[in-house]
Amino acid sequence: MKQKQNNAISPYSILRAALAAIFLLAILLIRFSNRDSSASIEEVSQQVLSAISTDSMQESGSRMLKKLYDLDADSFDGMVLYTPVTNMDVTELLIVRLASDDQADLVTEAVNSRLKTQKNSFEGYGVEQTALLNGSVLDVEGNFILYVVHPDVQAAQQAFLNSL
Amino acid sequence: MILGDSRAVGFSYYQFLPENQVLAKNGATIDDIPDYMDQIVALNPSSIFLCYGINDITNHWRTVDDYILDLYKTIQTLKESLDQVDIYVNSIIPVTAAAQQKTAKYGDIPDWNEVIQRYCDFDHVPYVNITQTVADHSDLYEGDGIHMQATFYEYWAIEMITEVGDYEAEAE
Repeated sequence: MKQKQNNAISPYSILRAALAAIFLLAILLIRFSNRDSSASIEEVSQQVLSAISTDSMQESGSRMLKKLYDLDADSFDGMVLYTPVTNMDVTELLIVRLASDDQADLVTEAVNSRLKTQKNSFEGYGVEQTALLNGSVLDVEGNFILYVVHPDVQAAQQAFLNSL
Repeated sequence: MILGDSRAVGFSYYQFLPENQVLAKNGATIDDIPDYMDQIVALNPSSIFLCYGINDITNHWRTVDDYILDLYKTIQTLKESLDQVDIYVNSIIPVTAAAQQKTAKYGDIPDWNEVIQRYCDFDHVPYVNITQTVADHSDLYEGDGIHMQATFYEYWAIEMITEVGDYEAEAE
C-alpha cells in the first residue's frame, strides 16, 4: 500500500521563500536609493557647457569658489565654476561632484547664500539680472550638484540630468 | 580707498584693488557712505576717492546745487572722522547716447560735472576728471552704455594716481 503524499508546505520552504523575498527587496531598495552617478566631473560639465552659451561667463577656479561660495575645492571630487565676466552680469554655473553625499547640505547652503547676495545686489537696480536670478536652478542629484543662472537654464539642467 | 557705485565696484571685481578697499555697491549714492563709516574708520585710509553720480543724478536731489550741499557735508564728515585723509572727488562717467535715450536725466551729467568741479576748485578738493579719458576710450563701454569694461579701469587708475601726485606736489 502506497503511503499518501504529505501535501502540507514544509516550514523550510516557507523560510526559503521569505528569505528570497527579503533578499529581492533589499536589492531593489539599494538599486533605487543609490542615485550616485559614476560620471566624471569632466563628462558632466562638458555636456552642460555644450548646451549653453558661455560668452558672458569665464571659467574660474578654487580661489573664486572660496571667495563667492566659501567652499574649498579640494574637499570635493571635482568642481567646475563659471562666473560673470562683468560685475553687471549674473550668469553663473557651478557643478560639484561630491566626495560624499553628506556634503550636499554644505554646498546647498553655500549656493543659497550666494544667490541671496546676488539678489540683494541687484534688487531694485537690475530688472533683467533679478529675473535671471529668480529663474536660477539648484539641482542635487546624488553625488552631483548643479547651480546655474542663465537665460537657457532649462537646457543646462536637462544636459546635466542626461549626463549623469 | 574707493567709495562708490556699480562703476566703482569694477576696481575690486576686476581685481585692481582688494575688496576691503573698495566700498561700493550697485545703486549706491553718497547717502550710502554713512553705512561704511565703521569700516572706513577701522581702515583709516590716507586717501579716499568718491566715485558716485550715476545714481545720484536720478535720486532725490532736485538740483545739482542741492547735491553739492550734501557732498560738502559728506566730505566734512569723512575728514572729521579720520586722522588725516585726502578726499578726492571723481567726475561722473558720461553714458552713451543710447543709454541717455533710456534715461533722459543722464543728459545732465556734463552740467553736474561742471558744477561739481567748480565746487571742488572753490573748496580745494582734488577732482579726478576722467571725462576725456572716457571719450578717448569710448570703445570700452559695456553693452549697457553705462558701465566700463575691465580694461578701462587701468586708464581710470592712472588718472587717479596722476591726480594724487599733482595734489601732493602742490601741498609741498
